[in-house]
Amino acid sequence: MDVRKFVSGSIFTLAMTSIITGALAQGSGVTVISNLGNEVALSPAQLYRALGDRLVTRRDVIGNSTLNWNQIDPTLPATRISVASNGTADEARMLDVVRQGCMIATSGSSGCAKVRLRTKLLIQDNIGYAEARFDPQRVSLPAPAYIPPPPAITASTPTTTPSTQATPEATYSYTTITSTPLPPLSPIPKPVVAVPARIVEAPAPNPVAVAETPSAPVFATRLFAQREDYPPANFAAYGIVAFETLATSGDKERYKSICEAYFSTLIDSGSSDAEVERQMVTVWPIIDDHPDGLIDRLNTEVREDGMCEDAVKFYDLAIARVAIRHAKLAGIELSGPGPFLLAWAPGEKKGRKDVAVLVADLGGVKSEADAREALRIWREDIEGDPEFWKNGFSVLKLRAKLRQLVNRYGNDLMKFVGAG
Amino acid sequence: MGDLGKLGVSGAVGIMLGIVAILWIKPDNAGGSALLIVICTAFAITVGAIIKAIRRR
Repeated sequence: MDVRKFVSGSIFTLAMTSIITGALAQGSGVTVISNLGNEVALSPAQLYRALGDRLVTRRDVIGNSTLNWNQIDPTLPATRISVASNGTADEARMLDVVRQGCMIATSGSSGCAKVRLRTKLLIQDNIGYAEARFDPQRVSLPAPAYIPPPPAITASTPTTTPSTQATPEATYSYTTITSTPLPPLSPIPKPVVAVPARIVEAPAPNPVAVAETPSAPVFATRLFAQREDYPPANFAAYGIVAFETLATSGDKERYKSICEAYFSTLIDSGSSDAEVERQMVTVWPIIDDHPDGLIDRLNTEVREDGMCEDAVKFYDLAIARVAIRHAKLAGIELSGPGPFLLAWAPGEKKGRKDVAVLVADLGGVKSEADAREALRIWREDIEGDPEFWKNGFSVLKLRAKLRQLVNRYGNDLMKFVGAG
Repeated sequence: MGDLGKLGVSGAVGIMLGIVAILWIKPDNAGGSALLIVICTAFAITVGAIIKAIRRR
């Protein structure tokens, strides 16, 4: 065997392996909020499949018509792909990462140099909420100034010809090697073939008490949880108090009254005698950036002054919005100012279409009494048979809703006739 | 009292319905109760008028 050919081939193989494995371990700088509410860092290969304008294979190139995040990864939401960025500098960096992702996914196809960004999927969003966000600080890939090209192998004189062109596209120009086989690249995901949006069936969840034995009693409980603890594990089902917006000085009292009703109506999960498998927990999400000990202070049986003020102040809106989106995904119509009480059974199916979702709209709640009544009905509903959740109607709910309406408009009527 | 007589059977039924609704819904304020009476009376009179119109045809 020609020693020079062997050495040059080995060097290239090592170089490619280090590039590929290194890049796989590194991030693309884009994070997406997953079905579970946590941030998922996309790999460069995933970003390429999401934002690249074409999907390159060794044999051909197809336009990338991937629409939704769950086509990139089943744990991501079934919503349209879009990434918030911070201007053209970010886009240039993203393009670098996308091309490197293409190189990884295709084992160095020359077509990757022509991949560009699907700019329609980029949004300029510096302040508002975005499901996916690009942060150049999180890109841990080296800038693609120079990637060692493979040796050009000829029959008689094997030579290594590094590219000396300065254009970015030239840095990706490779000659395909046929004489030196690449090592197996099992961790590299296959490129996504564009398919209509669909929910990928997850493995069957572990049996839960409520699903297996509907007659077994379950207990509605409450839990203040930060993002890393959400969703809480092992519960028979879980729900969430989902506000559409954070509290303002104008409606802070309303938020507090809902919190106080939440506190007084539901039992603290840790204090409940029932094991967690028999609990249907309703979570009040708390942002991670909270004062030390706040979660422990809130998760108690006894309410103390200032607790609800803190719970409202450190409310995690991102988790709530993901929950609202997941409820809509399951076909629930949610409109109005909210807040909404949302629950899934079993909890593991949250984010899928074929799941029973229990919903209570607290939009009409104006006073603490209203909130307490709504939470009481919620507790009765949640402890009922989840099979009937889809029905969504009960005489109790109707009566509570009517009471809210006549109280509100009755006052207006009295004022109109001059008696109020 | 003469004006009240014009309410007829439909009006009386509506007021009765309103009272039943008040007992069931239990509004928190007088305005809510008044609203229920008004709505139920209006509803009953409307239904009565529709029935009367159908019978005349």
